[in-house]
Amino acid sequence: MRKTVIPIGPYHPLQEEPELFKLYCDGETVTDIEWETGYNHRGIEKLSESKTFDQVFFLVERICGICSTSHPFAFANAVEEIGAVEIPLRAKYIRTIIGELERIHSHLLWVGLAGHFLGYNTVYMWAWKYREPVLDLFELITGNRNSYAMFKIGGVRRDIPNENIAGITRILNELKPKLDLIKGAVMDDPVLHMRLKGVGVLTRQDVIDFCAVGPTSRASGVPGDIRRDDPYAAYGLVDWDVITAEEGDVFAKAEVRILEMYESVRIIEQCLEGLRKEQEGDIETKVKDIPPGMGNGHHEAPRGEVFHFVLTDGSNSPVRHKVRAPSYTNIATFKKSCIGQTISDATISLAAVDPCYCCTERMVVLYDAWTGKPLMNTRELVRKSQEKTEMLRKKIYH
Amino acid sequence: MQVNEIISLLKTEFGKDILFTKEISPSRGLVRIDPERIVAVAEFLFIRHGFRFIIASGFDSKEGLEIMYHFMLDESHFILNVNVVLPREDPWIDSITPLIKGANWIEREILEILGIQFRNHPQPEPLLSGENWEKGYYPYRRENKDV
Repeated sequence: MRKTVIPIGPYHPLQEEPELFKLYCDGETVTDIEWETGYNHRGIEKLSESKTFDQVFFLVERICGICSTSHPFAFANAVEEIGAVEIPLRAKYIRTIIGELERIHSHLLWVGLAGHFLGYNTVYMWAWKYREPVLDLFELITGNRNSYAMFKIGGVRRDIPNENIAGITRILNELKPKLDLIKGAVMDDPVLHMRLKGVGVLTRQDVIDFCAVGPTSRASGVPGDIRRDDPYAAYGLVDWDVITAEEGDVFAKAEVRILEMYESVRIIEQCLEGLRKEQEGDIETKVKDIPPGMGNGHHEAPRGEVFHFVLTDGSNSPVRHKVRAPSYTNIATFKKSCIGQTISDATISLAAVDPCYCCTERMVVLYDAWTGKPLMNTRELVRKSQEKTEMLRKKIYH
Repeated sequence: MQVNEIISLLKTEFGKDILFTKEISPSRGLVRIDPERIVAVAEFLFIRHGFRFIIASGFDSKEGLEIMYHFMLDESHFILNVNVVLPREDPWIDSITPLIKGANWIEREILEILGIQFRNHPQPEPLLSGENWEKGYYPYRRENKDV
């Protein structure tokens, strides 16, 4: 039988990062899929062995731009497990707040992209517009919209002063009706029901076979969530629910992500209340050295479980540091979700697991093509960025 | 189920093929097994007891080339690390991919970083490295530690 191969990638406008998907098609129907990875392989595990524990945080933070706190979270859990480090309660709350804010901004990003893929650009515009206040919160708390550098062994690097809690709460309260708006725009839209239900279905057994994690598994009725299954930071101290759906299609995945954002807001609100009861500044346990041993650290990132395995020998660097991002297992489910679909459904099925090829965006210096002079250099960019952060602080906190 | 219970069950089922066990904490366990029994142990955990395969970590230690298979039983809140040691000369082990599809990529990755062959793997090709990658060069072997 003659087959047509439709390549998506390695560089494609649909994708932010390089990866090659080959769709084998018979007419409009996808009969098989293959992919090639490695275009963005940076040898981070190997590099980690040459860094000190403190430096590794900055390295793993750059594995992914979107879940840039998930990897430090999992790494901290692994190393603190080896050293039996108990971190202060205030640091646990702050870690949890950062983790959940990240989930909200990442899910909003996905909802927007999914809308864009479907040609539903209203959702795209709304989701990305209302993601901005979340990123502003990050900038206020950490100084950065992404790559927050908040984590260290034994706690966090920056406190959230109690006087700033009211400002953060106000932004969260303003976010809730926006989430309602997006929820209504997706879940009550009859066109999206027709477009997404029954598309890219993963059964419960598929999820188990491929070891899929996160919203990809929860949308198929597998209720795994590391925050509940192996509680860490403040997740065992606050009240929240694991969101699941049964259908396993793209609509179910959207539903899980949208409803999870409400749970994240619930978690953050309780953590902010918890912060008020703890003494300001108590954000770190001093750790002198890490003994020889092995640690399994994980964190429920927006896309699913991030897992870090660390081996130590008593020195100040890991001997072996294995990282497994959630997309590593989730992307393999395409073998199930895309086959038998039409080409137009295959693209949203690919996007439905929120694939992330562990990207990082880098700053570029722009030159004027005519004069050859730099339009903006790093120093100016940093100055502008700091001015903006200061402006935000004044606007929200005062 | 708890860590010590699954360790006892493994000892009962596999006897002397379980070489070493340790309950690191109530949520972490470690067992070292005879590499020849990896598929049987994976089947025991994954099929019979509903463990989830998280990932496997390959590394080069003083004892040889090691693979640590990480399994988790979500509803019982613990991770079981299953360890095998392989010789540096001609290292191979049976693939668990025919049993667990989610192990496909990581076995290919361990093949290219450590040179461990996975017998019966459906697609024994490098995962990440390009076509011009030097054959027989394994970056995570001890001899390449400082590269």
